[in-house]
This record gives sequence, C-alpha cells and structure tokens, in this order.
Amino acid sequence: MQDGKHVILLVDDDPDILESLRIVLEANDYCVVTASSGQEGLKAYRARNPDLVIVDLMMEEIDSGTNFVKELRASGNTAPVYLLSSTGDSLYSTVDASALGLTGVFQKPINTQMLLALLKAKLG
Amino acid sequence: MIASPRGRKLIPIERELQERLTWFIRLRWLAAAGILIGAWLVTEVVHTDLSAAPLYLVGVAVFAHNVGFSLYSPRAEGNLPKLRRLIFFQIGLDWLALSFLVHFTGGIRSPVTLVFMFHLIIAAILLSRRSCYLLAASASLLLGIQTVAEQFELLSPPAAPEIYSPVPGSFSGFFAWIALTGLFLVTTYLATSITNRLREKEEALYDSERSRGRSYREMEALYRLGQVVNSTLDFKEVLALIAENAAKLLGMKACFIRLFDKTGKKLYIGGAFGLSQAYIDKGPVELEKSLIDSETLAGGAVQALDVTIDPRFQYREEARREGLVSVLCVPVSAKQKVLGVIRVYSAAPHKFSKQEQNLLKNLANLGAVAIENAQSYADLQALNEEKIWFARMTHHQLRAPLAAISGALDALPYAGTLNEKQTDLVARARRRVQDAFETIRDLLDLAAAQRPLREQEGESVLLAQALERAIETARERARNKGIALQVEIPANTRVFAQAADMDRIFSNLLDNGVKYTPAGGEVNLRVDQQDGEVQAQVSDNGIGIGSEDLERIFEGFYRTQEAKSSGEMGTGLGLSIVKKLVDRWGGRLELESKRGKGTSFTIFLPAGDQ
Repeated sequence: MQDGKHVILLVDDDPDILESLRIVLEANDYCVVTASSGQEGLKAYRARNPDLVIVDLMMEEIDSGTNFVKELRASGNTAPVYLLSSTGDSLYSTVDASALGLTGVFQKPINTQMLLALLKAKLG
Repeated sequence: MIASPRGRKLIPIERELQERLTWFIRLRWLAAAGILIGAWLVTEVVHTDLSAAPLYLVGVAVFAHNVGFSLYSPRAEGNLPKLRRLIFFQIGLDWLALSFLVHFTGGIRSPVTLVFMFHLIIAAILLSRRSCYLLAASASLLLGIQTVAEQFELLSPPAAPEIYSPVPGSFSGFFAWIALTGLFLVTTYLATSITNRLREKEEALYDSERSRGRSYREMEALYRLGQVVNSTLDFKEVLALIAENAAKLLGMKACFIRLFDKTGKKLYIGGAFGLSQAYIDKGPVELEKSLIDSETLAGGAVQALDVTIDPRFQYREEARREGLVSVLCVPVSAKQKVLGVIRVYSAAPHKFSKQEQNLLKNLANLGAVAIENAQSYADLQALNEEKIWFARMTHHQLRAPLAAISGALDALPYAGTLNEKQTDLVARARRRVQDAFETIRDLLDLAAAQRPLREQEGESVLLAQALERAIETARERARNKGIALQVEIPANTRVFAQAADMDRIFSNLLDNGVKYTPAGGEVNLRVDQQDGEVQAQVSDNGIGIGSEDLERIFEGFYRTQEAKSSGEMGTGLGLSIVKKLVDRWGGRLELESKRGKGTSFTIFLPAGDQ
C-alpha cells in the first residue's frame, strides 16, 4: 500500500503495453510500478514491496519471465503473481503455472474488464 | 571366365575340340615316325621277308597327309561341324594308311590291326558315342573286306614273317614283347588322356559350383540388406549391418565404414564390425594423411597387402596392435557425390580378387542409398522444423505489436472521455485487431498441425474434459446470438490423441456452427463410440455449403460466398486445420451439407484406452 492505494508491479519488455496498462490501472486508483526486465523487476520488487505482480513471459530473452517468477518465489514472496502469456507461446513453452507458484495466467491481448474485476476481487 | 586351380581357362566346346584336334595331329607325327622306324627295324634289323619300300611309302604318306591337316586345321577354327568332319576325315585317311600297313605286314593276321584300337580310343575322346560306334563298325568293315579279299585271293599279302610264329632259338619273341609293350604304353597314354580330361572337367565343375554357391550367398545377403535399407531410416543401423555382412561374406576380420564430416577433410565412423573400441576411438582419419583413402576416392578400389608398413596408411601402429594386415578400400558414393569409404581388413596377408572387390562395391552402393535416404528424410524434417519455427517467430512478431495496439485501444477510454463517434471508431479498430489475432492463431495452428508426430506422442484423452473450454466458449457465443447449443458426450469416451489438438478441432467446428447459423437455429455436438472408434458429429441447421464448394472448403483461406456475405469474420483456415489434425491422429472426416439447410461434420477417431 502506498498513499492508501494498492501497489501493482508490472514487468514487461514492451513499453507500449506497460504504458497502456499503467493508464488503465491508475485510472482505477492503483499505484503502478513498471519494470522492463526481470532484473529491473526484482529491484523494483525489493524497493516497493508490491501488493500484486503482473509479469510477461518475455519471449525475447528466453524464459526471463519465468526466471523472474522463480527468483520472486525464492525470496519468500507472498503477493499474488500473474503471468501474461500468448496462446501461441503457451503451446510451445513449458510453463507450469502451479509449479511456479503462480496465482494465475492472463492471455494476451488482455481483457481489461476481466483484469479489473480480478484485481478488485483480489485486492479490494 | 572362371579360373581353375591350375590357372587354365575353361573354354567353349569349339575351342576344346580345336585343341584336341591339334593334339591328334601331334600324335600323328609320332605315328608317322613310328611307322618309318618300325619299317626300318623289321626290314634292316630283324631281317624279315617284308619288303621295305611299301612300308616306308605308307610312313611318308602319313607324314604327308599330316602336313596337309596341320595346315588346314586352323581354317576350321570355331566351326563345330567342320571340326567334326575334319576328325572323321583324318581317321578315315589314317585307317586307309593302316589298311595298307596291315596288308604289307602280313595281311589280316598282322598285329598292326591292333592299331585300329588307338583310333577308337581317340575317337572316344573327340567324338560322340554314336560316332565311335560308327567308326568301330567301319573299322570292322574295312578289315572284313580285307579278310574276304584275302580269302578269295583277290589280295595276296606277303607271307607272315617269322616273328609272328616264333622259331625256337630266334630272338623274335623279344620283338613281339617290345611291340606289345609299345602297344600297352600307347593304350595307357590314350586312356589316361581321357581320364585327365574328365578330372579337369570335374574340378572345373566343382569350382563353378562353389563359386555359384558363394554368389548365391552374396546375392541373398545383398537382398536382405536391400530390404533393411528400404525399411529403415536409421542409416547408422544399416551401416553397422553392412559392415558386419562385408566382413562375414568376404571372410575378413573386420570392416570399417568412414564418412566425410562437413568439412570434407576428415572421415568419421559410420559403421564398424570386428574392431575394438580402442581402435574405433583412435580419432578421425584425415584425408591428407591417409593416402589410401585419397587414392580410393580418386580411382575406385585400392588394396594394401600390409597396412602396418604401408606408408599410405595413417594409423599403422594402431592397426598392428589390432592385428590388421591386408586392406581393401572402396569409395561409398551416391549420385556423383562421394560420401566416404568402406574398408575390409584381413588378419593374414590376403590379395583381394576382382570378385571380392565387386562385392564390396555393391555393399558400398547399398550403404550410399541408406545414407541418402536418411539424409533426405532428415533434411525434410529439418525443413519442417524450420517452417514451424518460422511460423512461431512470425506469430510472436505479429502478435506483440497487435497486443500493444489492443492495449492502447483498451486504455483510450481511461485516458479521457471519448465522444460517441470516437467510441465507435475504437470499437471498429478493436474488432479488426481481434480478427488479426485470429488469423495469426490459425496460421500457427496450421503450421503446428503439419508437424509430423514424434514417437510416443499421443495419449488416451478423456474427450469431455478436453473439450470443456471449447464448449464453454461456444456456449457463450451461442447464447449471445440466440442459438441453442446441445452437447452429448458420454463421460467415459476417450480418444487416442492430444487434448490440445482435440480442443482445436472442436473449437473450430463449434465456432463455425455458431457463426454460420442464424439466430433461432441450433448447433449439436454428439459423440458416440463403436468398436474402438469414436464418432463425433457437429451439426447445425445454418446456411450450409453448396455442392460446388464442398471440395474446396478444406483448402486454406477458402471461404464460400455465403460465409463471406453472412457478415461473420473468418480466416478460411479453420477447416484446413481441422482436416490436418484429424489426419494427424489417424482419423477421417465426413462432411454433409446442403445450401440453406445446414451442415454436419462427422469425425472418426481411434478410441483411447480406458
């Protein structure tokens, strides 16, 4: 929480996606922290202690999204973690949501209404 | 030609007869000499009452006609009937001379009559049995005529000399003994000539039998290998088998097949038999250091009697330790491209025959075919993998910007209030982006559906469970459109496939059903199982497909006129994906449709284990 708002960490290597999501989430009264790589994400996580994390699979660098999730888990994270993935990606990657301790997986393109409903349910 | 152990070539019958004729003529020189010497002996040494002149005359006559024969006989070469006639003619003339000799040495009681025997023995070697009987009969006739002529005193031979009826105290008995010994010798010589001939024949026959047996075994092995080559794409397996067969068929200690690496400068192991692991692991052969291989590649088969001292050989010391002595090396080449070499090694010094070289060449050819087959298949697979990888990358590259556009469009209303016109434009843009997503997804699915199955891919899939999501999505769409969707899937129905592929097949079919059925219509999914086969039918009472389109709708990007004018978006790839996925799992697809009445797809798939 920061200034009475829930902090959400967004990790994606696509700056346009980050920007769109930030606008949607901020308009819905969330505090948004963004990071464009796994490394940056970890730094931001430690600095801001987010209430929820949304991370892209980030196919440009192989498995960098899943590695980020693994490191998060190793550091004793308790915040819900959602993975962003594309249908095509999931067919070929070996992401096992439950093994990684993920709270859920979102398909791209993100359905904004569904995302907001889910955040409301998780964080209030 | 097959060589006998004596190095003599087996020859066709003309050549053989020709050879025997020459031998016959050679004998006659001896006979003529014998007559002249005999005439001299009986007239000058023994002093019989026989007159010398006619005897000498006969000897000279025999000599003369033999000169004629030796000059004429090469002309009959290669002509079988001519050769036979010549032999008959020679025997005839011989016997005429012999008849004179009989007459001048005392008539029918003369021991010279025995000489007729020689010709009969010679005839037995040269001519057929029938001809021999004919000759025997003519000899008898000749002597018979002489006997009758003497009996009726038409002929009056000189009185039988005393050596025929020995007078006590004379040495005539000795002469008879010597003459008889001569007869024995000639008879023995002639008879053994026959048996020698027979023995040679027998040996040649035995040789040819043995080599036929070997050829048969070789052919059988080549045939067996040919079958293996055609039935497997694992060329390593084939090469190992070829190495084993090469060593065994040639009776050699070991065999090695070496193939070029990508640089074309080193030869690595393709298959080996009878060699220790240490020898196999000794490293690649470098073409520059291995003259025997470069010679082989340049000129076909090359052999070395002792590889442990042959400077053309790279690993001499290792070969010595391994107990390898002689080597035969032939290239393994296919369609103008040299793939490597095959070598066989003996444990003792051995010179490889032409036949052995040919066998190894045949084996090398088989190996080349196996390698080419496997290579073509691997290339094809690599190409397919590359295609799928390319599709994946394209998919990702196209999706990322679309996802960004989609996100921006979603965020637009949160960045400020939009007027009605703007809201409508955003909605249109979002719909088109959604279409683009579907096209990309279908293209990827199509590429994935064409990937050949790997071994052990597929499992027993519980259909009701695998289709949950597809049915849920279709149900929602149907509800929105006012269409009744009915689903009947027995809870325990299983198919042998992959859940993701089943999801794609039925998502597509249900989606099509809902898309192309007007509001108020119905879409049904019914699954049934019969005798190890699962039958799943997706039917609707929608716009249907005209008969002229039935064939084409499984082609990629094809959409019927009705589908296009229905206002529904579609890529035209869905059915193409369905068809490929059904094929992939060994199923089949039936389609029934009538324009304006509805469509029914029935898919048959092998049932999975319970």
